[in-house]
Amino acid sequence: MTETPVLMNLTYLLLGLLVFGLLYLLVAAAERW
Amino acid sequence: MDAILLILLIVGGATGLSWPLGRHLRQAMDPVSLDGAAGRVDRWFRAFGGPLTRGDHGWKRYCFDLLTFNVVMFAISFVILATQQWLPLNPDGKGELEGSLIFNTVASFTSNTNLQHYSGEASMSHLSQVCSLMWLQFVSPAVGLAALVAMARGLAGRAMGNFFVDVQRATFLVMLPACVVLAPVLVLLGTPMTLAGSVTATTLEGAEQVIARGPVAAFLAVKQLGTNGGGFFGPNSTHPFENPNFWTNVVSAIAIVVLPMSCVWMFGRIVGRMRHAAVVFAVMTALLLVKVGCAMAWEAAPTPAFASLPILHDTGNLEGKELRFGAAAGPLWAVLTTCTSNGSVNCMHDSLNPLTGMVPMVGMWLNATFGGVGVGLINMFLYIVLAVFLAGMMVGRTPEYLNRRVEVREVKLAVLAVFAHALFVLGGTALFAATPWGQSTLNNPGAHGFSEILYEFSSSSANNGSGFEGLGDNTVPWNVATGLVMLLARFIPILLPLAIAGSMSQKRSTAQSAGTLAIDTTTFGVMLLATILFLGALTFFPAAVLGPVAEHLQFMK
Repeated sequence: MTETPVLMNLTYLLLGLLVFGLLYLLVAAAERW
Repeated sequence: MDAILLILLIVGGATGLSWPLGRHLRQAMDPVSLDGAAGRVDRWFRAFGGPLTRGDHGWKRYCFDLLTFNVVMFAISFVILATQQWLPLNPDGKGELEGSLIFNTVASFTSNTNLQHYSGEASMSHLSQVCSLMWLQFVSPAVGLAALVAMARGLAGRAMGNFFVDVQRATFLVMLPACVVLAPVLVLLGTPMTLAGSVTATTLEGAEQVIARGPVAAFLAVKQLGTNGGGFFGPNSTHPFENPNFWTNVVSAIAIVVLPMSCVWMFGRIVGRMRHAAVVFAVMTALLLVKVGCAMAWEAAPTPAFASLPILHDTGNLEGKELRFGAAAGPLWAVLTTCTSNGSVNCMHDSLNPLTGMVPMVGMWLNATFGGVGVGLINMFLYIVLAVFLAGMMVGRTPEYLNRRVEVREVKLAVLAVFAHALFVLGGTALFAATPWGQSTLNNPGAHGFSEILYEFSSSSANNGSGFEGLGDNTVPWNVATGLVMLLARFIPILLPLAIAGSMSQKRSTAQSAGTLAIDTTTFGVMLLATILFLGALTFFPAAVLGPVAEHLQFMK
């Protein structure tokens, strides 16, 4: 596997983690609504 | 007549099985007493989970635990798929996967969608199939079931429970035993089960043909029972190894709906309102049967474009059907698989007549006619909150559900969850229909092409996973967009209802009075049905007119 696919894979992994981060924030926000 | 017998066999069989299974689900997920065996099992799960399984929690901690579990599953599965070429159990030497496809696949299986932009037999090693995708097929429905149980406890005024105990209960006491029963049945009926690689056969013409095989029966059992739907083979349940004959078709179809049906009875037992559960079950069944009736009627004749051709017109629309199952089995399966969030297919949905093709979309738009394991009833709960609210407004009384007041906060959260689904379906479709991201991937112009885009986003947002096909969807924009939609559309309608249940559990239980809306009556059932139909029609009918309805009218010219 070359360097570029590794970086791309990491980017997509981080994208998924970012979505979960937003969902954590949603739970925190839902408490105040 | 054959079609009616098939409906009775499958829907009736699943309904009959759902009652005892609902009783088992209650006992497995939320035992009445922790004496004896139930207590021992509970202690094992709490010992296995260590500090994570100590104590019961409120809705917020339950949601955080649920998310943390899914983050870990997402990351581990991502790493397995990204490194499958170096890992064992790869007898056919499957190579590396493209990054956006890995993201889409892992998002898809984590969210219980199982939308597949790849062909399993061509892309995935056995390790990827078994340790990543099949594992997620077990735990993702378990997450949905755990969330439903927590919501039911909250609505009954109790603590939500412990997520890590619930997910173990759902995996080891529900999903695993059910699959252990179903997989051998499928093997006996002719489904392959082996860890060996492909075989090469020489055809009668002397050509060489590579025939893929693998642990299909095990994969198939959890695929259907967990409302997963992701096939071992690319053609899913049209493949002769994945659905060899009439009886595997019947058993698989029953397996698609039986656990979502059982969830309704489990919910009724936990909240102690079985008559209310029966009303909800009846509303879901009525919607299911209407959709089955429409699909079967609209599929009973070939497409109008064939009207002038010298073909038989009394055999139904045979285009895209597996003839070993007959013309009726295709539309029936299409309805069952999209009313639940299963998504496996036994016919080509792209080849359904235009109006028949709309029926699966309606199933995914409503996403609550039994729906996915656990989450289907959670979606229905959102409609119930809105129905109770609307009914309260009509008679001028404060709305109540299960003796607790439904106030502004609960309605706001319910509307947000319902609105999110509509936004993902319609917003995504609009974006891809207006840009080359979608236009350049279509194989059909006009209304049918629009339906292909609409179906893909409906399937992603409903966590269904079936494909209309006819769409070149393994591209970076499709993989990223549907991956994001699947994750957000999975967890928003789980987290917000848990917040609603948590909020309601804090409220004082009010005594029933003459002004209380009775939730175990036919009147409530009709009110719920009307709420679902009006909300669904107002939200999605304009999109339906641009796609399947426009295509149908084109043939009427």
